[in-house]
Amino acid sequence: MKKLLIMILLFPMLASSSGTMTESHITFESQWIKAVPASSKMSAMFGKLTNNTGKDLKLIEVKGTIAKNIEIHTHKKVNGVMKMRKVSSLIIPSKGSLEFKPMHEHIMFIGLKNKLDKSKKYEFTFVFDGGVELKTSATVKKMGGHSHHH
Amino acid sequence: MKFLLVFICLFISVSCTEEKKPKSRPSTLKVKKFGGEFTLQGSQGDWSLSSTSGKLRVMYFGFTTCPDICPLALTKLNNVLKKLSPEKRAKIQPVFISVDYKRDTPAKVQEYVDFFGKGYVGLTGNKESIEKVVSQYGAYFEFVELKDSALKYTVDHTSRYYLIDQKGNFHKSYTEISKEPNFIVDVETLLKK
Ligand SMILES: [Cu+2]
Repeated sequence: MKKLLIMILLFPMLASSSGTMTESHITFESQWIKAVPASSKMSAMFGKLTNNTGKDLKLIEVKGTIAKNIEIHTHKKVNGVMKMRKVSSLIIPSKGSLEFKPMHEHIMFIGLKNKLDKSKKYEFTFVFDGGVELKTSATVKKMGGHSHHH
Repeated sequence: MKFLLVFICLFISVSCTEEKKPKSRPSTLKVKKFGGEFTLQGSQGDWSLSSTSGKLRVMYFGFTTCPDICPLALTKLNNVLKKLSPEKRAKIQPVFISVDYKRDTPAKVQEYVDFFGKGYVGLTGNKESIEKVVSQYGAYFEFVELKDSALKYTVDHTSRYYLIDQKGNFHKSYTEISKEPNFIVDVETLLKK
């Protein structure tokens, strides 16, 4: 509980000042990067992306220096078979949110530049169609504490 | 004419009773038996299922670049096994098999499972041996090209835990083990044998 409180306090969501959006309009909360074995070159980020603006938002890119490639992925279960696929964009409905979580949508890191550092805060920029950007950051956590999946 | 009609009726009644027979005796129907011995590559070389005879084996098919399903599956397994007493836990051998024989090596798979729990065995093999063990256990995987992704390809796969008893007989498979009690109940039952 104390940990959660610290986490919330640690993540003031800052929206880019480039658009007409103010910081409270788009938020990315409870975010975390999945800890992986030292030799692993891949990981993923999860969290809740909320759109409080009056318009639907189309997430088209996530930028960051953590990995060579950052992609938006989805996961579908078809007849018991898990299928991960890359998507070019995701819609976050107006006054709605999209939760990136294990077995569902996730931000995939391919080709991690360095071994993930648990003490580091990794910076990211979410780019939406129309030039709106959200600057955010996340830390590394071992999977397991989060068991809110279904 | 009358004779023919009687004959037809008789024929129908005979064929009907014959049809009913298998239904009342389903045990006579042949069902493909899943499971069995296999040999794959571990970090120390060849690894056969029979090398851990006497232990209860929990097996899972996945791959190490799997972003969430495999880590989640292994985390869940670890959480379930942690609840057992050390004596009982010592009688269980978790086995993770990477079906991604193109990208994973035995050493990489072992490092991967060590990240999740103690005493796990990580295995992979060549195309033939992986395809064989996957079909033996009724699992499924498929390499899927991802043209627009830096991953180049991914592996579609089933997510199930396979419970194998102390003698090497396949007991049952489970999709969910942490919320449904069946898995741990079966584990406890088999451990008493
Ligand atoms: Cu992915």
